[in-house]
Amino acid sequence: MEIRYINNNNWQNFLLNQLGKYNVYSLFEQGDADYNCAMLSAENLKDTILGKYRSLVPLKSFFFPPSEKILPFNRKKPQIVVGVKACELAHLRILDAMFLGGEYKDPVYEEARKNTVIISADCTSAKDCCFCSIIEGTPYPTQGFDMNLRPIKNGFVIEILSENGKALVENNGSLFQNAVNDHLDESAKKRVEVNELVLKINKDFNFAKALDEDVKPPKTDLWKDVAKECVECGGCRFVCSTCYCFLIGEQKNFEKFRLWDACQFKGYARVAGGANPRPTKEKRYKNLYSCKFDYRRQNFGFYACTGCGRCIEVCPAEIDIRNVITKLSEAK
Amino acid sequence: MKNIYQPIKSEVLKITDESSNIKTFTLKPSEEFSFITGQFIELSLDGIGEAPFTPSSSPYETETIDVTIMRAGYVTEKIHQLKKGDVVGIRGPYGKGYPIEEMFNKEILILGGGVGMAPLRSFLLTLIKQIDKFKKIILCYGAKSPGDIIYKSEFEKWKKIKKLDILRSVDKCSVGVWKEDIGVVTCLLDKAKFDLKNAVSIVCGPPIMMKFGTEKLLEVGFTPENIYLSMEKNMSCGLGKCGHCQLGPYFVCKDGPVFTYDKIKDFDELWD
Repeated sequence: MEIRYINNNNWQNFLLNQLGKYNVYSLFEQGDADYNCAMLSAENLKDTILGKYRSLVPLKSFFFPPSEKILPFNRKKPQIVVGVKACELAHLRILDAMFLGGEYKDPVYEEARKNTVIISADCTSAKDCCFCSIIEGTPYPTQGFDMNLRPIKNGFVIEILSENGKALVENNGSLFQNAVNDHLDESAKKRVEVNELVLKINKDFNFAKALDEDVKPPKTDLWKDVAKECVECGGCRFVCSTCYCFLIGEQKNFEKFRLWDACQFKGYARVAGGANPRPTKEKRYKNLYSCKFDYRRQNFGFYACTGCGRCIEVCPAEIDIRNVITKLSEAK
Repeated sequence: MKNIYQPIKSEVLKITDESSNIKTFTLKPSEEFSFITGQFIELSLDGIGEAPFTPSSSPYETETIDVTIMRAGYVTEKIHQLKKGDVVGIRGPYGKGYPIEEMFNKEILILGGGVGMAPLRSFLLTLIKQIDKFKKIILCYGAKSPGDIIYKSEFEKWKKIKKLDILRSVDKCSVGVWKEDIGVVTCLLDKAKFDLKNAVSIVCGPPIMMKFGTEKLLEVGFTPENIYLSMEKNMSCGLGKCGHCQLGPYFVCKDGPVFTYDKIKDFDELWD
């Protein structure tokens, strides 16, 4: 991995140089609690930020939007997404495995993925719902990006991982400098601080027993308790960046589109004739849990939950997956 | 490269009424199309919808493909309104079929219920084509009433085949109408003669029949590894992507639809 340094001013110039060649998306302030992700222009460039943590809108929207035509599908203009966080890069591992793995590659997802350059950034703080550090993650990217920004005073340490990232740096060579040890030390110190913050936020949660080698959920009434308050809005599934489920719709001339779908909806798995494998809320919640922590891990070797905490943030019933895992640990 | 969601246009050549709510549609795909028995297809109606079906014809028949469809929901209701000459779309084939070669030199006990006979007809025709390779075939088939029995004329032909025993039952019927067995299909297993040590069983039917059929097969001594179930879940994309047919860590569309019972017996939602 190559490492460089860029100062704040040059970073703005770097972004400016990409407009026109790419659709560049980045974050903007939106109230206290969240960030808005919007396309960059020469006008709004000065207001863009990297964000202290991930935004509420999930990264999957860039590759797998809420609704889209899949037959035929539109080619996308090359795009750059700036400010992606570590939990979201971990999400992409699941989406890539689902959409690009196996016998068939999803051409729509593949096209979007190929046309997208990801410029990620370290988290510089954490939300109360963040829990990456206790579920095999870190609040700073270690994989899956083209370029990663590590914010320090007056600029960024830049990590370059892919050929795409390398080309972007080379094409704008004069804007980048070599990183010196002081830069790296400052950045490393920040990483430790944020990681400790996430651990502190989550000190009361204990995942150890529930997520040990045998992640099979124990037989328990817990599911009924957990799902009792669920209002079946599906919000937790739509904001989850590892949720890949979709519904196919038909249009004239055998054209097709797809929409996000969610396993928490009653009709999700129902077949013609009426049989429904998961007719109750507790069965559906147990399935959600098993999908994230057991089934996908069996399939791909990692959890389909990366601790982004979006499901906790949106749930009107205040269901907190961390409490669920902790209670399961106690039940084991 | 072809889009994986692209169907092949296929003309409806023939429509056969099988029962009051089941029809067989003979389709002629506009491109070459082949499958292994037990695999399924996605059949789409232009602008209306798409649903999974397992072909009921022999895979050795390459010019046309039969799908036998019960009216059970929105899409199948519309499919039943199709006329000769209409065009539908088909995608596939998807999933894993029956592992026929693993069954060579064995006795094959087929247990079917209702429209579940559709994939089993394809399976049976595959066996009949190479019947020397099997010790014996026993077909146990059950329907609600004599009128609900499908492939009526074909049963007459099949009855003449040596090495193929056929037992049929209906759940209910008035006195004197039906000369074969009366009762749920599992009652036929008490009459069927097979050599348990060298037999495999193949089950397809409505969920409740699959459940009790499997229980009965276990009771008479079949091991879970020797019970092949053709599972019906909501296979929507057929490609292992959309998630709807998840059964434990499996996707029925790509890891099935045929599973041996040992692979799936522990999942709560198996029979629902």
